[in-house]
Amino acid sequence: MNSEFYQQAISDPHSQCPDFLAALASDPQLKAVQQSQLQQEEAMLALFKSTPTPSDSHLAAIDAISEQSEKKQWSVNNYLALAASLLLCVVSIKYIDIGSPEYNQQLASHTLNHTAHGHSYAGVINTHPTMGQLNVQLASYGASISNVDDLLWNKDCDYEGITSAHLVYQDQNAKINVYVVPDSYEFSEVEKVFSDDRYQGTIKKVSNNYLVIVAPKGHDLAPISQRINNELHWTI
Amino acid sequence: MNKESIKKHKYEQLVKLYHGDLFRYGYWLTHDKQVTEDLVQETFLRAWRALDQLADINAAKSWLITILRRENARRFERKQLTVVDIDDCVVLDEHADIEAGLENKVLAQALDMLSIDYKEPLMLQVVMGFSGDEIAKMLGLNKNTVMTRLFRAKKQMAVLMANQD
Repeated sequence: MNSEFYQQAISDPHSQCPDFLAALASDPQLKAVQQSQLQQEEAMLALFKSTPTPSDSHLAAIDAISEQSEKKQWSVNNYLALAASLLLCVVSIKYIDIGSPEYNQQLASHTLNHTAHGHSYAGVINTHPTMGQLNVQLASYGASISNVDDLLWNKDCDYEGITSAHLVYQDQNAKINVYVVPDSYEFSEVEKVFSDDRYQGTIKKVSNNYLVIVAPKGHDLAPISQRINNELHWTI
Repeated sequence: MNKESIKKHKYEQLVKLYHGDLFRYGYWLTHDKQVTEDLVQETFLRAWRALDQLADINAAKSWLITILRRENARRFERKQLTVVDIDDCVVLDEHADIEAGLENKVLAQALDMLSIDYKEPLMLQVVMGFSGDEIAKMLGLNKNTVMTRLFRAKKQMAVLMANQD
């Protein structure tokens, strides 16, 4: 029996590759291996189908995801509630001074704070993530990456109320912090270029995210920005 | 039909077509019905939020699986251990309950004994119907590696099942 077709009969018994089909037709032993494998896979499929059924409350919650959103869009009551909330916020901020937002609403300020906060560990503990790990992380941001050379560290961070993909690159002697922040956060201020006394950065709107690159002050951002533009792909 | 209605219709189609598969896949990753329900709910919530980014509806299944796998990984990142009194616990072995109703308990046990590196491509191929190319893309591996893992997974399954007979 041809070992290549034997492996195929096990790993991909449904293959419609013409050479494989011809081999099946001419080799009863190979055909038997394929049939045995197909039987085992049918049994596995039946096994999977026998998992418990989800609860009614779960199914209702899944349906409600879009319902709630639609109601938010169209319900007059919600408009009224929103107006009342806004009024309350204005009053709170102006007179009571309790209007601290749930998250930092200035994107530049947030990423500067985030970079300073992570300075002691982000990219210091050298994790060298694999491309597979990175692409799993980036998938829910609608992104993928094609090169992980010089990438030191990655994490999904929840800092100052904002969840973002946080990557750290080594670029010459500097550690470069890259953030992918969903644009579902409504920022009051998004500056294209920003800096403080330690760091400088850029913000670019890409797909449904903001891509923020932060480097130590004085570091030339152009090469790493170009590289990230080339290697980070917005897939969906 | 306005934009919001189109989005809602698209979402309902995704739920109708893929909820069952996602739930089964999630269950075989977690072995816990409640955790699976949370996982699948979070997956659809994220899918709803990002639905405008899904240009090709034909890619929806792998897109949803990718979100679910990522959410499952996040579960371990944020997992906090809490201490409870052992006497207050009722031990439920859901897996045992399910297995009791299965025609092929041996098959279930063999599957559980596979390492996740082998179990996951196997589930994606056999249960979810993905091709080697699609699995490679989802797992960030090349196709040859995926096909090798599938071959080894199935050979290991055969050995494990033979040993349990």
